[in-house]
Amino acid sequence: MNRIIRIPDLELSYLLGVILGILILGTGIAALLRRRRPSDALDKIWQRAISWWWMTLPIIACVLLQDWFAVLFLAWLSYASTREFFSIAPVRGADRLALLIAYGSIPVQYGIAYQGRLLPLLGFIPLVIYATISYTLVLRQETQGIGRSMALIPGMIMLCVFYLSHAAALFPLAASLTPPASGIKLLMFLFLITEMNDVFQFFSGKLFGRHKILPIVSPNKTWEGFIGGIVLSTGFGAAMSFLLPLQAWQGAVVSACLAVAGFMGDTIISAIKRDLQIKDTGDIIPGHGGLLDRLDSLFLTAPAYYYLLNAFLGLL
Amino acid sequence: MIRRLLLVLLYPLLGRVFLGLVVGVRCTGRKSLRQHRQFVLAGNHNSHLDSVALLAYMPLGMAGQVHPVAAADYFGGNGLKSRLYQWLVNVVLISREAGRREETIGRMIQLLDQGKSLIMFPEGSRGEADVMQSFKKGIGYLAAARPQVPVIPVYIDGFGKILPKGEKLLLPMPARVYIGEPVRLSSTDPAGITREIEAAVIALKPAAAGGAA
Repeated sequence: MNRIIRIPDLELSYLLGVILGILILGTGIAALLRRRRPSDALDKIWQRAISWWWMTLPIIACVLLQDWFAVLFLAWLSYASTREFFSIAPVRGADRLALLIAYGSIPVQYGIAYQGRLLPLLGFIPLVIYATISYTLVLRQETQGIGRSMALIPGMIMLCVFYLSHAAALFPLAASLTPPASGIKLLMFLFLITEMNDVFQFFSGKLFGRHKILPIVSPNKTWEGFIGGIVLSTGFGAAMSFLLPLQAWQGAVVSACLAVAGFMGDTIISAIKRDLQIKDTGDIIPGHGGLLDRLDSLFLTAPAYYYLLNAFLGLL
Repeated sequence: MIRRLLLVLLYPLLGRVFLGLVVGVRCTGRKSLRQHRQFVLAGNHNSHLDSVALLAYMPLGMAGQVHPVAAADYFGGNGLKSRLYQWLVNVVLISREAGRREETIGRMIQLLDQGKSLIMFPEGSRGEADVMQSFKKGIGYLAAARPQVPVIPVYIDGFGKILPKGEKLLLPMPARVYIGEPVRLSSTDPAGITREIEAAVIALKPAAAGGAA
C-alpha cells in the first residue's frame, strides 16, 4: 500500500466530479451574471467564487493523499482559527502563557482523536485543558479581568479544537466498522453538506427571504433561508449518501441535523463578532473574511455528525 | 558559502513557511524589492522578530547581502548570544550615542558602497506595541549621502503582539508586513528626508490607506 497517495475509487471519483461540477457551475454563473450586469455585489460574489477554488485545493489534496494529510489539515484549521480568535479577542498580556497552552492542546487532542477512543476524546479538553488554563491564570495572580479570560480561552478551544477534532475521529470510526468503511468519504460528506448548506441558506435567503430569524445577531439571516437550507441540504445529503455506510433516508436525516447545527455555529460566531464590533474575523480568504467566518458552521456540524453516525451505526 | 546556503535555507525558505503557516504573517508588496538590486528598508519597530521576519521576505538571491542595523549597546559584546545574533541574523552593529554620528553613518555608507542592502528601524527602539515614535535623523543623513540607493518603506502590523518588548514567550498571532514603493525624496537636507521617509512608512498603515486591503 502506498503511504502517501490515495488512488480514488469509483465513489471518490464521483465525489471529485460533484465538487468540480459545483465549482465550475458556480463560477460560470457568477461570470455570466457579472458580464451581463456588473455591480459591486456581483464583484464580491465573483471574488468569493475564486476563493472557493483555492479553498477546494486542500480538500482535493485530502482525497488524493492518505488520511494523515486530512488529519494534519484539520489540526491546522483548528490552530489557525484559534490563532485568529485570539487576535481579535480582548486577551490580556497576562494571558500569554495560557494562550500558549491552548495552542499546545491542539496536537494532543488530534493525536487522541486519531486514536479514536471516545473517553480521552471527550475528556482531555474539558477536564485537563480547562483546569490547566484556569490554574495558569491563577498562578499569574493577575486577577483584574481573570474571569473573562477563564471563560474566553477555554470557550474558544471548545469550538475550534474540541468540536472540530471530531472530524479527525471519523477515520478511526470508519476503520472500526465491519466491513471497514472509508474515513475520507465520511469526512467529505461532512465538508460537502456543511459548505453546501451555507450556500443553500445564502441563496434561499436572497431569493425568498422575508422574515428575519435573529435580527440583532445576524440581520441578513431569514426564516426562509434557514428552512430552504434544511430542505435543500436534506435532498442533497440523500443524493450524496453513497459516501456513507448508511441508507439514503438516514443520510437525509443526518443532513437535516447538520443544516441546523451549521446554522447554530454560524450564528455563534456572528454573535461574538457583534460583541467585538467587527465585520470579519480576518482577511485570510478574499471575499469571505477570516477563517472563523468560513469555518463557523463546521465547528458545530463536526461533533453533531460524529455522534449521529455513531447512533445510526448502533455504536452509542 | 556554507553560511550563505544556511541563510537561504533559514530565511526565504523555512522562514516564510514558518511565518506563514505557524505564526500567521502575510506579506504584501514584495514586488518592489525585486525591482531593485540594492535598497535601504526603513520600517517601524515593535519586536525582535521584525528584522528576522524582514530577512525572510527578502528576494532569494539576496541572502547574506542584507544587513539589519542594530544597536551596539544592546546587541554588542562578545557573548555567545550576540555572536550568534551577528552570525545568524547578519546584523551590523552601530552606536546609538549622539556624539558618534559621523562614524556610524560612515560605517553604513561603507556597506552601501560594497553593494550591501540595509534594514533600518529609524525609531531607534522597539517602544510600545502599535505606537510609532518619531524617526531619528540617521536615515536622513544616509539617504542624503547616497541618494541613488532607493529607500523602501515597510510597515509591520501586529508583531508587538507576537513578541512584545520585554517578553520572552513568542505567541503566534496573525500579522501583516506591508512593503511600499521607494520613497520619492524631494528634500535634500537630512531632517526633511527623515520626515518624508517617516510619512511614507505611516502611509502604509492600513487605517491610513482607508482600511485593510
